[in-house]
Amino acid sequence: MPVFLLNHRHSSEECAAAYAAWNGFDSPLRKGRAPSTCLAGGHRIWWRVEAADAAAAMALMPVYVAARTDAVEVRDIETP
Amino acid sequence: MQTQARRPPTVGRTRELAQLDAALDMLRARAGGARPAIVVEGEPGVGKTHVLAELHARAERRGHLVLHGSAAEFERDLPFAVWVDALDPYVATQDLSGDPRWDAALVSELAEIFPSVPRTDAARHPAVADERYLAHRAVRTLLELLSREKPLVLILDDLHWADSASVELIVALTRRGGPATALLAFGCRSGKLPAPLMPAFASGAVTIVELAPLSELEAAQLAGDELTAAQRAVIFAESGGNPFYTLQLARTTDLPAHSRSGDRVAVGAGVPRVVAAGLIEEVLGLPADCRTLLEAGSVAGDPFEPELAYAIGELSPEAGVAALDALLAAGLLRTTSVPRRMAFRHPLVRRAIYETTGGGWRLAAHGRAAAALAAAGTPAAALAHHVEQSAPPGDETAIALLFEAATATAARSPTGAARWFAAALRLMAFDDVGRRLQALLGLAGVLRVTGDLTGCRQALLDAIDLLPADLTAHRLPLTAGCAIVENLMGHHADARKRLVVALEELPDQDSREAVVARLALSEGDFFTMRVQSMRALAVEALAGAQALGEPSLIAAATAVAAHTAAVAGDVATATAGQDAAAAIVDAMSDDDLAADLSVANRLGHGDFYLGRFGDCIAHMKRGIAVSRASGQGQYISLMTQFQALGTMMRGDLVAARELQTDALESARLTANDYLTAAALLTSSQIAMAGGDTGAALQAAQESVALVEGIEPGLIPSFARAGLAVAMLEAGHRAAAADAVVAPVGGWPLPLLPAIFRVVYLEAKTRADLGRGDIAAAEAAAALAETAADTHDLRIVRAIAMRARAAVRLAAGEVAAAAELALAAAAEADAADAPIEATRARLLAGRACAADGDRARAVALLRAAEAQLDACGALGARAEARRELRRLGARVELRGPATPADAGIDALTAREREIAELITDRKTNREIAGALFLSPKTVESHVRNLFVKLGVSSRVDIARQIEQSRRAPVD
Repeated sequence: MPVFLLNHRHSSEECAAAYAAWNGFDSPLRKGRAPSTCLAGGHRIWWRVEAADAAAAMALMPVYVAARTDAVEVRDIETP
Repeated sequence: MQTQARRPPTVGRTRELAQLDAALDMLRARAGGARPAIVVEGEPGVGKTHVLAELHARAERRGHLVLHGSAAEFERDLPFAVWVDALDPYVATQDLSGDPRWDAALVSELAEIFPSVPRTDAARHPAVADERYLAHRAVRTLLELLSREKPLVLILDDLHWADSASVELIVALTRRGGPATALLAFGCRSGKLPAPLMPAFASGAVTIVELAPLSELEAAQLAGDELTAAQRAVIFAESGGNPFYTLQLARTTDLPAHSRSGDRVAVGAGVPRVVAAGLIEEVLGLPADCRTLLEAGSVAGDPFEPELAYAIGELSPEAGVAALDALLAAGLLRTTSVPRRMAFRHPLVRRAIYETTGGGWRLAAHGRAAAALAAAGTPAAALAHHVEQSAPPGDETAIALLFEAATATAARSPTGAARWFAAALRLMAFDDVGRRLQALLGLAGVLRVTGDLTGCRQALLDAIDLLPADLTAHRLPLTAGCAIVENLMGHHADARKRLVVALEELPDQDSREAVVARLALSEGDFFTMRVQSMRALAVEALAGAQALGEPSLIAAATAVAAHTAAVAGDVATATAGQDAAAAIVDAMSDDDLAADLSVANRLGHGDFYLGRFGDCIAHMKRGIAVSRASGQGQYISLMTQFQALGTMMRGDLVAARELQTDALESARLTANDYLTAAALLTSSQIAMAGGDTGAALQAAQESVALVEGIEPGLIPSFARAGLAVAMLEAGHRAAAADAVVAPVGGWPLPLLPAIFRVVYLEAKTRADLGRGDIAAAEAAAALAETAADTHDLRIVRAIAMRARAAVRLAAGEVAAAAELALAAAAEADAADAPIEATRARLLAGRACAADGDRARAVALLRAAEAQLDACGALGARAEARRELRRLGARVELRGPATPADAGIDALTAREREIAELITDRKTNREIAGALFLSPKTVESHVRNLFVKLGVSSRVDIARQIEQSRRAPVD
């Protein structure tokens, strides 16, 4: 299964909404942990997901969040 | 906003959790259209928030949408704060524009409440505080939209700290019922429920979950295994089983040492000193920056944003972040569902820390908070709290900001606005008369809207005291305003005395001020029905106004004089006066009319008393439009009531009910017993005309209860007459009804204007005849005739004739009864009162049947049945159907004959088709085009839909269709 890095960003004014959007949204990402820079003021969040394609990866997020996210297909490498 | 830190385990609470599950089951089943609501009550620290978090988790497991908001102790002044906390971030993420209900009017209302809803450019009148119910309806619709796809559980915690606008909204939703697809769940401290919520929560519509302290066994389990049995016993003894205290004491190292530091804090909140001591010792053990951040956070809010707390605590971002990490690790702060917002471990912790800060530091801290928020462009209303706490007397910037906050919140949260006006007054210099007056008048205005008439009166008196005695031109309008308030409080004698003194003190009895005083006195006399005095004062005022030649004053005096003549029964004078007043008012610009809206109000009342229903509707419509356009709401409820009454008399009970719903909601929001009693009476009358005796009785009972103890006058007479008649209709004993009207002069109903008197007496005649008491009916009909004799009005005459015809029919004088009833119908037709006319024809039909003229009887009854159906007069329609059946005639069923016939399932295929198109926001013309029907036919179907679905608007039809479209959630 392809792996995607979901690269999300929102503005500080959108911060509350970006989290509220998950309410009532059924997704395996919910209640999971993800690195975020919101507390430090950066307002970016990253998820690493497996999905059939980019659209399926984006569908793991509420529309509001997906609209502020890029899905980048990635593969693990071995760091030299 | 929900906190995210690890919750301690749930211990005990088996029964309470079962109650939560039952509420969720009810939501899932939507049993019987039930609109579940639940309130979790208990002492501070007993675990209300914890139980609500359980509800949250359980609802999410069921796949429901759960939204959560909390009120905060020191931030009770932001309008709708708890609702905004719960809904705003989520609403920001939803595109609701595809739903037909998401129209410009809805968006406009919601934008006044929720920052995330963009304000539209559509031209719209300014919000009027008296119409706050429009905002409430908008939120109800929003909840429906949010719960379209899955049930919504809305949790509003710490209601004991909720702002007044939030509380009003909850009252409105619980009174009318929230959406069936949403569960409203509240948390509140025992005994601290905001007073306006008490009746709604006590009505049985809300499930109460009362949290008791934990048992010793449960408390020991919560405290943890690492403690010794002896320690657990001490903790239980000190905490009494309170879970927060238990956990706080379990953290305390020196258990259960009594600390003097604990004496200083949180005792006001009822926290045991040993618990407070433990908390303070925990805080004192932290590094200085952590303590500073905690103290700054307690000033910033709960939850708060770290940057604001850094600014308040004068911490660098680096030091702030380090302190924040330490506090999160210690569990004194926790992140919320938004990582950048920090919440205290418990509101009691915030309070305890706030109380330990020194007064001087706190004052400066609020100042820094205000400055930081202002620099960030925060609206005035959101930083007024900090300004109020920190600004010194004479601070011009602060005064201006408080004014701005008051003005901005007046329409949506008049209670909050009152606080800012009062705060501005405290900061103003005593000799700043101009601005003090401005603030006092603003304060009086918002207090009137909240129903605090005592405070409103005091503000007006303070304003009067500010003015020099010789400034009569300024003083007298204030005195008149004060008298109006006193009249609304039922203090008629005080109001009269105040005005009489003010009038006597005027140096020039022919001045403008003298005219204003006489008009105000006349208006006051209307409340007590001192008819002769009321009229004499009006005539004198009119002469004075004409001598002065001031058009607006002439308009006011002419309208009052005509109105008083109508009440007095001098129909000829009243008619001429009403014509003159109407000519003047109709020629006035809206701006001129806005200068004194009482003119439009009195003119419309006069129209009604003279039976000029079309004019009444037109004048009230214009008065309401001008009220809205000019942001004045004081007459909106009254004018809407008379528009509803006029509409009822014109035969459109569906529209009348819709108008009256608005009028009653507006009146209830004023929290003024007089106005609410009057609105309830109008509701009762309209319900009675529609044949809904139960609703009529209920409204009249509530109305009488509201004016209990007030001196006899217009409104108590109305209330008692309405109740007595509703009781008779409902089959109560005659003696009980007689006792109800006895305090207001008995059945002659001497304090009522003739048109109302005759309506009630005719209803009594019918009820008496229904009981077989012909003598009582004869007496009632005679009283109705007396009213007709003294008031030469077609509508009064028509109703009195009908009463007499009914008595004749009962006495066996069938031919005479038929003739008189038909004459009554002709009079009512001429008076433009189709329901009254049709009721007379129904009576004539019964008389013809009794006379053996079946064909004529059937024709009359069929026509009456159809007309009454069209008007929505279901009680009289049922009577017509009974008579037709008795004659063996076919009855064409329309509308809801019984409750079982009502609802979506009772719709015909065509009606359902039209209802679906209405839901898709099609106009009647568009529907006609789509279905190849004439617009008239569509109108007829729409009317049937209103009746069958028991609704009064197209939006309500759409709601029911939307609900029926959704498959039940399994």
